[in-house]
Amino acid sequence: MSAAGSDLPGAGRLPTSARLLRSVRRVAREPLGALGLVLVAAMIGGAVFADILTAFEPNRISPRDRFLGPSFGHLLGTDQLGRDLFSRVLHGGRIALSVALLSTAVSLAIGVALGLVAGYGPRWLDNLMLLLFDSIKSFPTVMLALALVTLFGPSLTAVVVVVVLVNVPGYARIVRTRTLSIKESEFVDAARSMGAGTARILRTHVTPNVIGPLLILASMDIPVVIAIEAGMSFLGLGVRPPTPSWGAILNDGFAAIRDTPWIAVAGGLPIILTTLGFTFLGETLRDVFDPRLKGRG
Amino acid sequence: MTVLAIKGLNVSFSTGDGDLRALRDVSLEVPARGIVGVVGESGCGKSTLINAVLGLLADNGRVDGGSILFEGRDLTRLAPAEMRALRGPGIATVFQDPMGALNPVLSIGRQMRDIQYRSPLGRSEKDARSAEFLRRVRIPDAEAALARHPHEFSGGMKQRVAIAMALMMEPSLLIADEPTTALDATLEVATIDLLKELQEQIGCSVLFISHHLGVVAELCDDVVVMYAGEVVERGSARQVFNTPRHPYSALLLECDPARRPERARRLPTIPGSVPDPRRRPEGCVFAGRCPRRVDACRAPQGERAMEPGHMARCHLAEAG
Amino acid sequence: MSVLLEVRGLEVAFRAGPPLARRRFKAVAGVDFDVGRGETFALVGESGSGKTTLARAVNGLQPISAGSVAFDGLRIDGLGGAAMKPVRRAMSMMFQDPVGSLSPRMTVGDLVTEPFRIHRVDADPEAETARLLSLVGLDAAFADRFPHQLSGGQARRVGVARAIALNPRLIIADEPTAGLDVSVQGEVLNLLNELRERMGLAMVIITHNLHVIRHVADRMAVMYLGRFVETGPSAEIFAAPAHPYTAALLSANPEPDPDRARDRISLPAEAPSPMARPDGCEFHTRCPWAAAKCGTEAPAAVGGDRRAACHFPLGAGARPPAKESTI
Repeated sequence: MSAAGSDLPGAGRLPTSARLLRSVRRVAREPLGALGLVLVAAMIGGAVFADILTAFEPNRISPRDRFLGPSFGHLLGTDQLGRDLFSRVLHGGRIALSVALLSTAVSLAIGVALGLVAGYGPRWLDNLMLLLFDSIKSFPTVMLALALVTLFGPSLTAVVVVVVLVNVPGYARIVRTRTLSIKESEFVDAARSMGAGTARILRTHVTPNVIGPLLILASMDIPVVIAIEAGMSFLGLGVRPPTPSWGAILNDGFAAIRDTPWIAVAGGLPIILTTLGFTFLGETLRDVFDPRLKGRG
Repeated sequence: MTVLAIKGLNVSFSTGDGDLRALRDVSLEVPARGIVGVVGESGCGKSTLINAVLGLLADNGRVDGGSILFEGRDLTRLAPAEMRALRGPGIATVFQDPMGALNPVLSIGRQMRDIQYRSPLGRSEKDARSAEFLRRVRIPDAEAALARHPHEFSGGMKQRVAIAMALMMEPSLLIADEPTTALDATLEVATIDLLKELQEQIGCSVLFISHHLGVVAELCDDVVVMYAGEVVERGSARQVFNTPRHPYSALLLECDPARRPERARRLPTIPGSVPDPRRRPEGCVFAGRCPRRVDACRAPQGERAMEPGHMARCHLAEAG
Repeated sequence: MSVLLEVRGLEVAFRAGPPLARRRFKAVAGVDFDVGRGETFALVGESGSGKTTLARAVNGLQPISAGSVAFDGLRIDGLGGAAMKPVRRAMSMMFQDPVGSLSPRMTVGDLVTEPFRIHRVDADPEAETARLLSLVGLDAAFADRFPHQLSGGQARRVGVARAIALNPRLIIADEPTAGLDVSVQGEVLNLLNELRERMGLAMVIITHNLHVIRHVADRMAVMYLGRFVETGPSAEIFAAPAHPYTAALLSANPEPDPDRARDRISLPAEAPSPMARPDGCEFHTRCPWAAAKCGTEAPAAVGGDRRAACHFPLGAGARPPAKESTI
């Protein structure tokens, strides 16, 4: 880990970056993994360089240009307010990706912390926390979202909180299970016998061995998060208009789907492509890093 | 009469970093009713040898030369279905970990009945036969034991059940892959005695893989010493253990702490390590660690016979 | 030779069994021994004899249910983490699995210098890594490797390097040669012997391999069902075992010599479970010499340095009474 690396300069740093590069190559060698990488890179690139890639302001209303079909000027056409859909999709990608990355990162941090406590702590605490995780998990996502929005009003924060609440119990359970088995391993006994305290054991010996599979799982959860954000925005529980969001575009398009189907397509396509991209990437990562699955169809 | 004859067997695995030659020019024979021991340290190719005989090489492995004749048929040329039909009634296997061979959710009796699926006997006759084999491996109260599940047996008993299941198929060849390594010393010798007794009763041949020289000396008629994927020496147990002709065999025997009854301040060791199978030396595979190395060791070594049945892959080995 | 480790009446109890019928049983049932400074003491026993539990109890990884452990004159049983920490600097432990006892995501360099970080000892990590690796005969280039890139013998050397990092006075080694090839076992034993002489280390070696003990241990104890059945200087025990179980263990290690006469003491049945201890002498159910008295009366281990818990200790060259051999 980084703490150990700073104690011993040079040790382990080069292998890590070399390994990362090799992992990317291994993922890219699989056809699905390469497709996933391309899709994800395209989405991230589009969101980051949105201002360069399009000349239109995403929120500029232009009543003369309402309901224009796709053309060279407007690649995906315009919506009922004459806003350029391509620009809105790219900017919507910023919302989707930042919500996805932020909420996944927060879920991971909380999930790992709770899982470590449950797995390494005393038995009664473990039982109590399992009860808590299961109670949260048993809430239907939509109900949870509605309840939170009623409390805080529709906002990006509400979306993030819903996603975190939905994700944390799953991550914590995985971390807890892995921690329980790592706790019994000889290298943890060895650390204890050397006098290492609980904090040190969790930081240096447990966490690095728990986190790998979890990152893969999280990358497969990102599409789910994007769908939750889109879904909540579609229902009007997420970002407020006029902020561009894929779910909101989809909603706009839905109202006029008979006459101007391209609006719904413009909202739906990026959701589908991003979801597929992250799913392919996650599954390839899992196959590449889980040696037990190697060589299977 | 030879049950298993391996001649000039080569096995390679293709890996990301190039081909890995796991076995090179391996030859050995298992005579009918004979017990042949294969000894060697980790990385010597013992497991690859067994998998090649059983037709269970990993997907990236291939036999690229030589033959494995089992009762006259070349196993390297058999179709997968023919090979499957042979495993069990032709060649049975006992592994190091008996748990791997037993299904934890089925009773012993059910599993023993299942492996007799080719037999025309009725259910109760099959069970009677199972009980009889459990008695032969000295499982107390055999009839009642049939109803029990694997976890209700101790490690030594599980291994004996696995032996009973392997022998119940009356194979012509039993491959025993480190069958006693996981057992305590007192159980280990008892299991060896049992294996020898059953082998005599059933009249099968045994290919016994072990890293434990003492056990091999005790059980086996012939011994094959492997190093880095090659057979470096083979002969009768007496020939190999009393007059080892390959420097590796000699050193390996010397290293065994059991050979030195008095307290030694320094135990003998073999300095160096096994060569990387991707970069095998041109000449003798052991030359890098051999204390008797001379220039001639850089040339490839062929098998050299000293006396009938005793050969070593070393140009220093002399007849007599 | 003054006493470094003093263990008295040590017991470790566990609860096991089906959820509603949990029973308490003693995995270690009262053992006494001393280890002198610079001395090597071996604990021998088969699986289930309680030898590993005993080692963990001495090291404080396993709570004890009775008895006492004193290290360098200080009672250490029941000490909490903070109070135990200085003791752990002076008493290190090596675990059975050479690779599995090394944290998989740490480099060898990080692993061997971890004791310095744990105990906040000011040291130059690179210099210490180089010093420790050379002490255990590994090239400095190993510092950047991960445990899964090591052979069993190399991983064991890394384990030794960590164990000696802070100049301990005692090393407890659980099966130091387990999982190693014959040619590598010798290397590890030579290394331990050498370090012991150089650093004046005392060692407790736990093993099932009697041949290992013969070459490293000054004194030994043979464990059966959590008790010592025989203790004494190892040379004397090897020359003439007094307890039938010791004799059986000694005869059960086949030597690589096809011509050797095989007169072996074979033990009937397998060892009973510590959850169902036999009455009288606990070994009488398997003892070829057992007499009526053995089934009713537990023998006491008497004597000074050399003790055997047996009503009828064996003389030199004792042979078992004729009996058909069974497992």
